[in-house]
Amino acid sequence: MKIFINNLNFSYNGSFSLKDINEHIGAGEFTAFVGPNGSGKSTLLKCIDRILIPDNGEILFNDQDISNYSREKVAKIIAYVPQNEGNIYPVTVFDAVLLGRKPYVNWAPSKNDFDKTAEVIEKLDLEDIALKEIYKLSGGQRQRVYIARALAQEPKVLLLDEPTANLDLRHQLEVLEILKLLSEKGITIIIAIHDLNMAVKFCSKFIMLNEGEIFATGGKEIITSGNIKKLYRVKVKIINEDGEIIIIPLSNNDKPMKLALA
Amino acid sequence: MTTETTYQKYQAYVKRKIVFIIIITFLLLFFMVTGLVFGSVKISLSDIISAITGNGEQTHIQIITNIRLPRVLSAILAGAALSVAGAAMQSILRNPLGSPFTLGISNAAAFGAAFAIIILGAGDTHSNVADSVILNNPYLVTVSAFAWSLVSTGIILFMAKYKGATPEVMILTGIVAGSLFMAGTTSLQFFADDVELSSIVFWTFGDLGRASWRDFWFLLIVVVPSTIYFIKNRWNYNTLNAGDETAKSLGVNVEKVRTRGMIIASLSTAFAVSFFGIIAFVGLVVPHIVRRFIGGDERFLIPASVLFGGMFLLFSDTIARTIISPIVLPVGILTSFLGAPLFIYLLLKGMKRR
Ligand SMILES: Nc1ncnc2c1ncn2[C@@H]1O[C@H](COP(=O)(O)OP(=O)(O)O)[C@@H](O)[C@H]1O
Ligand SMILES: [Mg+2]
Repeated sequence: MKIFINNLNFSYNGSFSLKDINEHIGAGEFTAFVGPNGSGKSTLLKCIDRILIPDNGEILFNDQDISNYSREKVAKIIAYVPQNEGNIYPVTVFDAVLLGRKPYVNWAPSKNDFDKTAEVIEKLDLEDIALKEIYKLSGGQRQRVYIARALAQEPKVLLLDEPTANLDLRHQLEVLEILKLLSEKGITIIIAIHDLNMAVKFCSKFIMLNEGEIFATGGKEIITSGNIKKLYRVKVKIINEDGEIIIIPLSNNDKPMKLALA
Repeated sequence: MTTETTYQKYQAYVKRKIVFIIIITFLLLFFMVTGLVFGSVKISLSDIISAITGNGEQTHIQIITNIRLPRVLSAILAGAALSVAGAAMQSILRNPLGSPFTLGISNAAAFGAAFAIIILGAGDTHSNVADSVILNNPYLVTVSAFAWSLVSTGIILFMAKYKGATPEVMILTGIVAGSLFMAGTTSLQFFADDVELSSIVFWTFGDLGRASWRDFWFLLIVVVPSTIYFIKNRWNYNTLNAGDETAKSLGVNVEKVRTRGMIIASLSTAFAVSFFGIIAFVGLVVPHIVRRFIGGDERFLIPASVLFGGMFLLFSDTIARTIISPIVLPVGILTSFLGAPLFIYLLLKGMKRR
């Protein structure tokens, strides 16, 4: 499903706002929102899922405006995995994933809902821990559970807010590989991510945000030391080895820390 | 395939919860029978059956149909209402201490009772043979208690509308409103005479001895629809447990579910409290006990709390009636004595890492 964002504006009651966001994300694309802390990545993800309602502008999904869809109808199109799941409460993995069927369930889940749940659990290699309570899982396992729950929604668009934060290297790779496979199957995926090396390794499109505005957008070609310098105020060296891009941060020499001077 | 599928394993796991619910249902029936058998006069099972069908000794018919049966049934209804409201509120407020009482419902109801007794003059009391105080206008007290509970619910709703229907707003407003009503009750008591004071104290002890058939039917009309409402919303409460953002992304209108649940839990609790006085700890403890047995999945927790709550209050009331017979204790005293230590035990022993 392709996404058009036209002239989107959003502001919290405070000072921060997203300003005139215009963007086009193709179907089945794996997109990364990158930018410094507080640049508006999470806010934009929440606007796309209508957890936050934009002040004006429109977001079209395959040319459809979803702004007057019911929450339930939106949930059948878009799934969202928040950065910090609010509460880790005592339910099993199976129950947590079954919750993804919520938009399809009226009074009680059907056989089809249970089958879909079991199917997703098996796809994400969670069957051995299907009856374990989620608060007993490791961070990496829990992230897989949340992705599984999102997949149980059978979404066309999957949004994840820093899905690799707090994960070790192996689990970061594992999560991103899963997402990459899903995008290859046609699900449009957008993640907010801080690790630029991971982002260039897996994503096909990059949207750089700075103070609520789009700073740059495009493919791997926008990952340049110039852009990164402007965005993060950090010098980096970029190595391009047979198309594999590696970003190495250099120490910030022009602005030595006070700590070092003391 | 020879190995069990994931779904089969899950079914086996769920079966245990269903077995628990079936056991509770049988226990509930068992305690219904014991509630009818025991009392100041012991009546055998066969005599009960003939009394209910209208045969047998006249005194037995009197005791069973006019006193014990409405009391037993009201205990079940009140216990179910308080417990299911507590279970829902713990999820709605995302707080293990959540219950309509947390939102100051009982304080508001107590204020309403004091208001009726002192200002509206419903409190001229007489002592009767059973050594208990009788309010000369119990329905005025009930109506006033209920009306003031509505006022306190209204205050929370008002704040939720302007400050957002979040657990924080609701809990803080509830606590403030609750202490205001408590201060109000204290001020009213300052102007009360001895008889009025004792009437207030008497009302405050939750006591199912007041249950008449009329009370039962009133309660039934409120408790049945509200219970159905909570059972229907059990999925929504599961999503609330996962956090507001997750709930929204799963298609739940979080503000609406939270506000409506709060109103309905408050109303049905206020209703029970207005008729029978304050029956503490049932709404708080029962969901925690049930959770210990079958876990936090609201799909089972909500219906199981209905049954367990009915059973729990019925059991407590039967004990209260018989433990130091012929003196009948108000069940509110017993639930406090039973509930408070039980709650601390559950808190220390069972608090799952959150
Ligand atoms: N609920 C909120 N109310 C007011 N301001 C907020 C809220 N949430 C985030 N902000 C502000 O909006 C800005 C962008 O936040 P966010 O979208 O979370 O950035 P990012 O995810 O890129 O780190 C920050 O300055 C943050 O302080
Ligand atoms: Mg963020």
